Amino acid sequence: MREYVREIESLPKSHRIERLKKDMLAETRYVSMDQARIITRVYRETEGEPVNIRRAKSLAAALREMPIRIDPGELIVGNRTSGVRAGVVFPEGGISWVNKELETLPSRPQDRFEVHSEDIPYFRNELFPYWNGKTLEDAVNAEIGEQAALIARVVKINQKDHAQGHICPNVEKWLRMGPAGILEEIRAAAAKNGDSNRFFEGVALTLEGAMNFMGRYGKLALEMARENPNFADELRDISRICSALTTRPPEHFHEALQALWFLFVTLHMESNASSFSPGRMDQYLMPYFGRDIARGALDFPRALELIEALWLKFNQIVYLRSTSGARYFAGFPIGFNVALGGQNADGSDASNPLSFLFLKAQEHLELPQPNLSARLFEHSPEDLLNVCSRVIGCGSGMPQIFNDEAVIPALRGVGIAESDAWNYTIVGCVELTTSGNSLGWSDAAMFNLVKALELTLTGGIDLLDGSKSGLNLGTLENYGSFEELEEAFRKQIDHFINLMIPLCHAVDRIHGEIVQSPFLSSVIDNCIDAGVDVTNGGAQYNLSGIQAIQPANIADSLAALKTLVYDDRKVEASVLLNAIRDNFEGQEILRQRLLNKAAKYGNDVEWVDELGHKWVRHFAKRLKEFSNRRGGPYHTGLYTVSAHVPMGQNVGATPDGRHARTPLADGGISAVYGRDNSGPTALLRSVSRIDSALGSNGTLLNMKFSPQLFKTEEGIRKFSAMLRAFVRLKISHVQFNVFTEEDLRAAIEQPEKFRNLTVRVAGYTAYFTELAGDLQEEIIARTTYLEAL
Amino acid sequence: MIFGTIFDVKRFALHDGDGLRTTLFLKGCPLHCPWCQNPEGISPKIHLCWTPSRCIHCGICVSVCPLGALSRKEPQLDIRIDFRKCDNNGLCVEECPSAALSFDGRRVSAEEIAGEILRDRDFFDVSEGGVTLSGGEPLMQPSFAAEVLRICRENGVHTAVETTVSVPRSAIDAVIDYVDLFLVDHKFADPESHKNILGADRKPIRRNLEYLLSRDARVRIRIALIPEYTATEDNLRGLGDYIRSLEPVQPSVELLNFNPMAENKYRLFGQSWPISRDAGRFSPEEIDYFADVLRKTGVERVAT
Repeated sequence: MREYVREIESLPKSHRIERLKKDMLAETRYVSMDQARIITRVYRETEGEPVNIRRAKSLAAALREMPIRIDPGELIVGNRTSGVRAGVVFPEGGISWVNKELETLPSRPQDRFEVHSEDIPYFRNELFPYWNGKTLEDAVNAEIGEQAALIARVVKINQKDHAQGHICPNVEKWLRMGPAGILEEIRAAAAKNGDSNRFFEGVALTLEGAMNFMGRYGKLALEMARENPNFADELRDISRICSALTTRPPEHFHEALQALWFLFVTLHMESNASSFSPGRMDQYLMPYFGRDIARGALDFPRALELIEALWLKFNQIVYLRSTSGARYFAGFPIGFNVALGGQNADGSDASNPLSFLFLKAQEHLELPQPNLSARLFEHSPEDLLNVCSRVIGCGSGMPQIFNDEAVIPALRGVGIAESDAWNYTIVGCVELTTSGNSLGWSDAAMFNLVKALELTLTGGIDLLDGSKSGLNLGTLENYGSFEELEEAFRKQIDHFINLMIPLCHAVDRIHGEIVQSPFLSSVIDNCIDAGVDVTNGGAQYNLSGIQAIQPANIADSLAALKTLVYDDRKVEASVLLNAIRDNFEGQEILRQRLLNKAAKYGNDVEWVDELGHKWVRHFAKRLKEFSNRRGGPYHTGLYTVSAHVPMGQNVGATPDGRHARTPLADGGISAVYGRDNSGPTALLRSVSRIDSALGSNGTLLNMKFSPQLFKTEEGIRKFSAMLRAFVRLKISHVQFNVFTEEDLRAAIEQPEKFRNLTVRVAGYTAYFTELAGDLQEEIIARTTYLEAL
Repeated sequence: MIFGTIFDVKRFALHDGDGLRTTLFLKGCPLHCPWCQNPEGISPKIHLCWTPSRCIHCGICVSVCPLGALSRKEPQLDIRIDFRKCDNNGLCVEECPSAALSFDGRRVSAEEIAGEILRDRDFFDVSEGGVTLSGGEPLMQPSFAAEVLRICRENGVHTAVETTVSVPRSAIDAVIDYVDLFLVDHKFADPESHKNILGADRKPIRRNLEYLLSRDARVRIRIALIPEYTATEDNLRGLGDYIRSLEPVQPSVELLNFNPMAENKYRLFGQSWPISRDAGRFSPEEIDYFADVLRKTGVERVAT
């Protein structure tokens, strides 16, 4: 173990941070319409001006006018609302769902928010009437609503009601130049290229707004210093930092963290999008940290306290989703994804003291944000693996693990240059991106392969309501061989891909018309050079990701069909078809046969795993034939976040013995829970058969371990060894939940005692007690690898 | 081809030697330890068994058995197996839709099972783990054990054998060249207890242990701490005195905590568990205490 690792491992918790954390969690979450009021006013004032200017002016006004607050004791300041964890109503994205659900937000099953009573009449009388018909959601609905509804059970088109997130801005540049420096760059570019479409004008307005915002915090801190003698010195420090950042880039570590936070607050104010990710913070912050340590201005305990202060901030911005959106992405994840470790451009290990300080901060705080991701590769040092394992064993579900050996080649495969691929990072939950130069559009749609299989078996008839929803290519009774069935499945998939792509295209275009993002464009490489907004193809990389869901259910269903119907002929095709039509009513013996008499994905059985792999391969290959509206490629993701529950509700009974409307396999490439009963090594080998190059948009594997494994150093070493094997097997991603069923049962019984309990839902962590009951049960049901007996 | 009878293959085994391992459980054991963790491993024969929690009481098994070996007991319709009639033809196992009927072991060739073990080589390599043969008493099937170990060793996999060495010398000679580590269970210092409780003499076991050491085999002695049986000060002191006297190299000792989970297995096989119901796992402090008893006798290397 490196000397500094030993030192960081022994750092204690900070009382200040503990207090701030407690206060933050105690504060009631409210819906906030403050910014909506400002945006609406500015839009009324700017009728007839170009969209980018209206967007820029409304952001700049919000930055100047939003009520701000500093809590005494805070080391990093700033938020997009005066309350913490507020749900921001963002009219440009879409508010028709708010109109329907405003009164039920405090009582809905997932992600509840209180509503200020004065906001209800304001919303109904002013906000909604003004915006109705003008929002992104309205425009998308008007153009593609009907077509999207027709294919909705197979294809869920996303990004229909909010601006695009899942982006890693160029934080390194923001820290190097500061808003003032970038403003100079903008002015120079405008002088050189002209500004016929007023792109540079818009960007400049937002940068000036950001500088004003920082200055307001400087002023507030100074005022508060006078009134809070106990915190006067540190408030004056904060004031100095905030004021300085309006004119120059940060020079010290504390300044850099504060500057970074202002960047992310401003990005969220502009877009209200899900997930802007800081990316490889341990890399670009290292110069600031190293300089301060070298000159004696910073030590490890102080650095950790500052990092933890920022970590608290990452938990203060949450995302208000509709009731159905909250079902797909439960626990209001906002996705401040921080990557640590990994490698340098020359292939050497990149872990440094900051990587370990981040892990220590996670261990101390055990909060859902940041979404901490550790990058591992062949030469990752033993101490990094062991500390990751130990922190995973603490049970907060973090860090999740990414594998350079799988991810870098996968990104190269979708046209990412070598010089960018090694520097990849993660946005949102598990989505892969380059740093600071990409609009990855990672969740353009989710494609439910399992529903496509259902329609293949039924002649295009939806099992849930009998409607005609897909191609009629025959039914299970007519296919003379397994190969014929597979051929029909292929046609069914292709049919829906062909219907899906134009709709994704349209949504992408409408974003470019309605939610241009001038501020974001200033921190995504190439936008300024090209003079083009990021939503209109300004970024260096322009991808679109579509998720293929869910290979485990496909493999299990096809394996059962192949074994029992076609190979062994133990089950009549017509009997099976009737059984799934009847949701196995009165057919429990048949259902048990399907469950127990055919091999299942996740048990290291090559031919079954191949049945999942094969269809992922087909899907990814077909997708690659299309280009998106911004000129970049479509590529495939293999993750569902928590969407395996609602997507399962769209699917009738399946030939793997699954009942209608029950969840699909969790994660993305996990086995169906309870069916991988050959242990974690067999599961990992099965998963490794799905070529990670196919999941270049991101993959998700959930594993759950009992806490006993982490109780001894030997256990931790063995867990690290398993991670080492995971790297060698070239699987892109894995994440771990660590707890006992009793822990979770107790948390359901007495939620008040377990407010702090965080669990890995999917690619993110949420408070267990804040999840809806069915999702809680689902998490309990996932396979646990108990201590080997 | 050499065939053997096994009752389980456990991948990702964490407690049967160093690193990540695959443990292969061979059927048959000459001892009858009352607390046995794997009672299905005692008999060398394969038996049909019925898992109540999986059964959906469809009765298919009763109707497919040509020998009438199965019947249903009212009112829960529990399945009864008449072992005098059952000839292990497997029809019921094949037809049982819920996998409630199964065999408690299977015949496999050494090549086949070695292939299964080698699947996890990536995990062995990164953890300095490997394969462990356990049981039952794996050396009851010496040619089969030797062949599995030989193939694994030939493929660069570390090999361990968990044994009581209560076997003929020839069985040890059959495997000794293919074993990297012997994990030798030694339970009782007192020859009377050994004979009465385990059903085997202590003397040949100790002779075999000494023989292993004389052949320079790497040996780790494992003592399972069983409440009221082995986990007594007197017993540990007696075992310590013996271990201290061993040469040329004093073997290391590993203390294994009692595992009450085995009670479930006894229930599954319709047997009663001989250990008092409230006996739980020992606390870390108690384990340290037992380790100290051993150390005080002069045992140099004690792991817990």
